Amino acid sequence: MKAIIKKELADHFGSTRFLLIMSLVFMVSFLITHLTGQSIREVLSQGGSAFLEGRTFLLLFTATGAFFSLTLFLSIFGPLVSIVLGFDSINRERNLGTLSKILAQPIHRDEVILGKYLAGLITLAIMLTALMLLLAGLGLVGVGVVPTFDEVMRLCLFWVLSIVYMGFWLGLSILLSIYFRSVATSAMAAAALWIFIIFFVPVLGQAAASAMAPMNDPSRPTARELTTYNRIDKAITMISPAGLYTQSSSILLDPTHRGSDQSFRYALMNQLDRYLLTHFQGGITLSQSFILVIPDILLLLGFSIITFILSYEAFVRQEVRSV
Amino acid sequence: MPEALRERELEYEKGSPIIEMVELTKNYGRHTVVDHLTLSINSGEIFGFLGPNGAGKTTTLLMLLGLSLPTSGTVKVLGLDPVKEPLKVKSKVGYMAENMGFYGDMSAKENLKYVAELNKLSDVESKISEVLEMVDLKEAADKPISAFSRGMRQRLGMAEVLIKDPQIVFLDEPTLGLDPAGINTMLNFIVRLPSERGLTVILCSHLLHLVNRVAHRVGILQKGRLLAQGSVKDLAEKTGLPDDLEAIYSHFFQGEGLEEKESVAIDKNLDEPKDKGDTASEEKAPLGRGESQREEENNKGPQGEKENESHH
Repeated sequence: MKAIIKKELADHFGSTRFLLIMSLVFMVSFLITHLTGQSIREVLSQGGSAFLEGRTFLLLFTATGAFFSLTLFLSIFGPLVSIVLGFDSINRERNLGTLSKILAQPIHRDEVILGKYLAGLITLAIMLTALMLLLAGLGLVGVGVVPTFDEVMRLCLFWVLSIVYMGFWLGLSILLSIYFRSVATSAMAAAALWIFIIFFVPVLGQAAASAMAPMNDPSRPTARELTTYNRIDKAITMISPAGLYTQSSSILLDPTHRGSDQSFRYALMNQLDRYLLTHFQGGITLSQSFILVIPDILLLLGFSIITFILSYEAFVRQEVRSV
Repeated sequence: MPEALRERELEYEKGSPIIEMVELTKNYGRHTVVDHLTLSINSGEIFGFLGPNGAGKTTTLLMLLGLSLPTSGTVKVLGLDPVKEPLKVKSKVGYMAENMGFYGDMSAKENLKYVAELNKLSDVESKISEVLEMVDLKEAADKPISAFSRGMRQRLGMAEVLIKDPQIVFLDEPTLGLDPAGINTMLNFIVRLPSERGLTVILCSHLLHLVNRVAHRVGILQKGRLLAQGSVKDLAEKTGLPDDLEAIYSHFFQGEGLEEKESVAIDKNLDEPKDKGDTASEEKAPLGRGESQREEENNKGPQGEKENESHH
């Protein structure tokens, strides 16, 4: 399996399309961080440092800046990187005639699929590490704020969360490359799923919410109506990995953010934490934020594992004759 | 002509069975691809699997490798069950698939290295140069595969099969798409494998005259069933036909639909080396043609090969 991982890594880093999407992601990220850094500097020079206390550095990643925040950008374009890495991983080799050759060597079938998946994950991890370090460096130089330990830990958790999220997309695109014989079809299917999950599911959530909990007067909804509407909308967002990722990354990276008011989030907390969270408005600690996002992270991890297991099963069961 | 054949049979010492198939069957849904195939192949022989496209030759090979699971029946390869111990079988059996593929952006050496690493071989570098030397691709070792001709690709495929130092090799249509010179190079190479490397070879082809030139024994497969097996001479005696694989083959395919016979004839015309030999005598005596031609090419083999390369 080491041989497969090695070769796949070399392929990924040598492929033009990966380098293209990487440079796109890096350029946009630099732009976003630069603009965000400028606005943070303005706020700091106007004496707003108390307001930003404890999260100045994190704001580089979460502030909306001129266009949108870096986390939102990653939630939309991170999947594209995964898709670029995975959409043709099996069917290209099948069409090339190298898949049957590899399988005729003394290796287990699952080593092939596992090797390809791990190589994809390693590539994503390297890319994300490089990106976050570069942006952090840019922040240090541009804004001149040193991150606190708490902030660094939050960024590390965000790193893990992002890998899990992009792992979901990697598994999904590998699955498509197993099911579809043609590379073009699997690329189209991956793009379609990307558009559906990123752009349509949120709209669907709102549509379903207005259908199931219609308001009498939309301009002046009652508190009860609004709560039901929000619940349905959020529940649908929760089945979308993109929704889970955006929500949990904003809780992780923004100490003032507690997520939507879903009582199950508090189930894992002790009495004191629950009291503090429900009665005070200030920033919360890292451990509190972490407990808040545990349900989201578990769900996201579940999604990633499911896509990987599906592709694993599909590949191991597929008849070689069709290879 | 029969003398030449006998001579070849003498070269081959009948070894013990190295592959045994008993009542081997493979169904895809209701469609039976391999139908109760019972056959054993001896060590050190070149066994030719003959049959039209879709007769079940490739499926049989895949079952021998453990890449496809038999619906019923048993297989033993080197005394091992490919279903239970596929890795052990695959480390001792080389398989050159029909239309074997390579990584186009990698060089011949890198492709070989990948196969060697998947086989967890030691001393990779020296093995690579050894097999490249063997298939005469030393000069092209660092060229990317995308610049390779069909003949060079096929020889590289052979190198990939041989690098793991197998005991058995399965060659599925190894001459497909090659020009006459390429076919001769390939066949001359195959015919020497048992004596020079102690290999057992299973050669699948739908091209009669090619199998005829190299195989010690043949098995004729049609719709998954083994219609006949044995040396051409045995089969001729059994059927009372002339010592000619073509006559035997058409005997077995009588009434089995003309398409198969036609396709064989067409393929034969395509592959016929037109620049060599006396056409008139060829038609009368396909066996003799094969034999004399082989000698001819043995003498001028290397030049023929070089010509072939320079064309591309």
